[in-house]
Amino acid sequence: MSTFVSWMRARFRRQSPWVWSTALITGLIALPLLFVLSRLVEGGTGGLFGAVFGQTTRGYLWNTLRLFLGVGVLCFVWGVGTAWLVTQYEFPGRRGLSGALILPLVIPTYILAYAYAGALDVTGPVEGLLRWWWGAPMGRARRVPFEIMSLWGLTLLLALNLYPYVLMTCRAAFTRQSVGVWEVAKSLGVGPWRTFFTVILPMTRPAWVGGLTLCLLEVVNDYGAAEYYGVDTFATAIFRAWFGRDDAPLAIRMAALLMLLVLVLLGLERWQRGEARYHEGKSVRPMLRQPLHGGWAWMATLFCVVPFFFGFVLPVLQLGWWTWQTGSKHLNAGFGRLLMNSVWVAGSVALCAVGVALVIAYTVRVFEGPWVQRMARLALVGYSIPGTVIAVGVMVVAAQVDRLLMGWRWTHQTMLGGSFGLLLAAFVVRFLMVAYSPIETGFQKNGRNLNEASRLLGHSPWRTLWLVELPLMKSALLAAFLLVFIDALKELPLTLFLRWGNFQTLSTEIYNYAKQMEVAEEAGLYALFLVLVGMLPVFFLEKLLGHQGDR
Amino acid sequence: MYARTSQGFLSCFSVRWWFLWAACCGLLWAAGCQKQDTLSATGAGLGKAAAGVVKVYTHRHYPTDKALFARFEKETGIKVEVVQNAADALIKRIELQGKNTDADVLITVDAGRLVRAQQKGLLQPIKSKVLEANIPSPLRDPKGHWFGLTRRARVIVYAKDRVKAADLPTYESLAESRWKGKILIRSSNNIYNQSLLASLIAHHGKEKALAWAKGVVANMARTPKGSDRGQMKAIAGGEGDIAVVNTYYIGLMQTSESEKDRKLASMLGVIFPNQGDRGAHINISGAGVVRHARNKAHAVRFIEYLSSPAAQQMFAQANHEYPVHPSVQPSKLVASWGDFRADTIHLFQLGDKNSQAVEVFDQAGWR
Repeated sequence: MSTFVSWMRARFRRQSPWVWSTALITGLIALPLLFVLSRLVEGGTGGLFGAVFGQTTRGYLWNTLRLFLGVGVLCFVWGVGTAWLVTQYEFPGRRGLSGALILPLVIPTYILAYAYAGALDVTGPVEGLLRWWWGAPMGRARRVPFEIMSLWGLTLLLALNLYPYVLMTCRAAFTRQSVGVWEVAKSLGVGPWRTFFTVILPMTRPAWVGGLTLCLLEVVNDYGAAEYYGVDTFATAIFRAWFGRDDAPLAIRMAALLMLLVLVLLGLERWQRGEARYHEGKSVRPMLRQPLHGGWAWMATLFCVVPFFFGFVLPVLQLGWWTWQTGSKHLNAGFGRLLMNSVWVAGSVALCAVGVALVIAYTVRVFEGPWVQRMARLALVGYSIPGTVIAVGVMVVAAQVDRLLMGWRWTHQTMLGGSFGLLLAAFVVRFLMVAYSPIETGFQKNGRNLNEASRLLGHSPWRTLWLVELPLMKSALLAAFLLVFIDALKELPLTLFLRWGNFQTLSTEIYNYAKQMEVAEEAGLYALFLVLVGMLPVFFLEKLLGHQGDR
Repeated sequence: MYARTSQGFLSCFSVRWWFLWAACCGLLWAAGCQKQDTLSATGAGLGKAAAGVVKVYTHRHYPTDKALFARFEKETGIKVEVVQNAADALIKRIELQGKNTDADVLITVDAGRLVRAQQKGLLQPIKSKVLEANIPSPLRDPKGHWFGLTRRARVIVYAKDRVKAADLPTYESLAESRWKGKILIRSSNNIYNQSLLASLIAHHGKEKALAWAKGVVANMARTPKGSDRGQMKAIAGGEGDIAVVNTYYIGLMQTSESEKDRKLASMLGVIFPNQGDRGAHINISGAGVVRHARNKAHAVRFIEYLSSPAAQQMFAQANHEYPVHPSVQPSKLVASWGDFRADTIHLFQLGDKNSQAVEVFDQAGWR
């Protein structure tokens, strides 16, 4: 018995820094979220179901589910399809497209929405061209058959914007796919289509389900585009309840319901992995890409060009046109300041998020156990919650802390409220999962054996991480950093709510022009620059992965 | 054996971990102090210097406002710090900050939200001879919780080639069945629509207002969507013939960078409704002093400055809005839409009837 106790004690002591850190981080992250949930309980369950399943809420739920379905299907088709083509086949433009296909992700969803609304409205270039073609002057009945500012338009836009999540996870998985599987299937006389659907897809399920989960979580979180297009989703409903109607309890309940929806999603994603662990190729013999010929080759090119063109080229052209119109008067010192602010925020957020995610992911890896797992899940849940709800939760917690500090006479004015630290914390709560996913995948890719071997040879967890694991997963770390960077750059509601003093970023300025002042064209320069800044890391990422033979 | 345990023990309090945590805390703390740093950087340290600041929470986002604030700084030496955000978020923020709020002045773009802030007890009554002289009484709170700074009218625009202005003399006429499938108007989420309906409730009562809303819904060319400018574009797209918009959006359209926008604007006529009776519905962009303002005197001085003829002149030239100061003329472009009679209903009513308006919109099925 006593040996058991001393063994336990030693074990506890050795683990404690990691576990304690994870616990502390999780506690900090969970605080605002638990606040939101605690209000749900506090309000009583009386009117809860009435509020949640009432006439209007059902509409939001229905819209959100339709978006889920539409965006899910489109992202799956485009994401998996393009990933498969660019990793397995050789066709005209493959090399360029392999890099370019990721680009739609750098355009913030709300900017995509503004750009498409501008491109397709009556005075926009598309309708202008069609009217000229058909000889219908302005004032006559509308000739463009598709109304973009609708649920269908929004579905299409979100899918165009988000499919690269699926593409990226799948491309990595397909690249690491051992050629052996393919050869075995072939030798058994199975055709390529059937192999793809019965062997490859099931084998890479964690990859594409993970990518899809990211997409759907982004759908839930989108506010700017849905608001602009007048589609009632949970995000807009929460905003409306919280700000417009000033009905905080209702907003919090809806946020809680949304959290539930997302937790179900995450649960499903976990569940589909089941007990099986997916270890991929120990010694990967990369597949040789098969050349496609004739019609098939051009069809492959077309299939890859379509989402790239509509997700990136067209909106960027529209932004470019706006910049051409109005850019010169916005190109001044104020613009430089905005740019610096944006990069500074996104950079510090990404650094913090990667650091925190690494600690949590490594703790989960080394110190397996139900509690560690649960803590990690809790810490990551912030990604599912609309930015403003997090912002509100964080604000209230900060106000409490401030009150406490002032009670102790540590300070006589608000320390945390409206500070950069608070903004940073809220962003980390929001984007931890974005950093976590690639890092977790990176650890899985390393396999468990390496870590265990290093530990057996007497290295501490810290040394193992530093000397063995991290050097092997540089690209995963960089991917995590870049993904968070891009997301933080794009993030709108959080910044809108929590930014301090005179601090404006490109995203808040764009929102102001497009939504508040209804002059989206004035924001052309800012939007274009946001896209360009977001693109730089993508090129780095591509280059890095290219060196490792991922292309 | 001993060595192993001690290693385990040490790793618990390892220097590396302490460094890591200390670094994290230091970073967060430094970041947390950022706000105070910006304050002190602008000359608001302790004691005396702290008096030289006014913190303005504003919904308005126009280049002229910045120029105006800079002029105020120059003339008075009082530093203006701006937090720009949607009014709802700003109100929420002031509410959450409670007594510790750093806001001195709240500026919104409609009376409804000012009244809401007032009803939440976030604003304080101000007695100022200057403000009373500069701002006509319907455009400010009788007790001085808030003061209008600019006016805008919510008017009817129509396709000149399809509609005769004489057929649309009033807001009430929008509900006539002859306009079936012709009317473009934005969503009921929009505060300008809520305020318009609130004024109708105040004049006619809830029942008639509901009948009106139902009539308009029946006449709508499409489900409400998009912005005020979007409604005007939809007229050009042939989706409808009549739209209800705020005046300054017409100005924005007429002075747009895009030639097509300007051409489109030239196809539209402007009607100020109800000129025969109560006058066109107007709303204000206005300001109030926050209840727990730290710099009350500066806040009052700031609002007084904004109501002065010189500042009103700038407001008038900037954003195609109407000045509130009786002696200041609107810009040429705005004046070209013609003189109009404004509804003299007290703007307090717009905020007061807001929740009823939202209710009526829901009942009428106005999305």
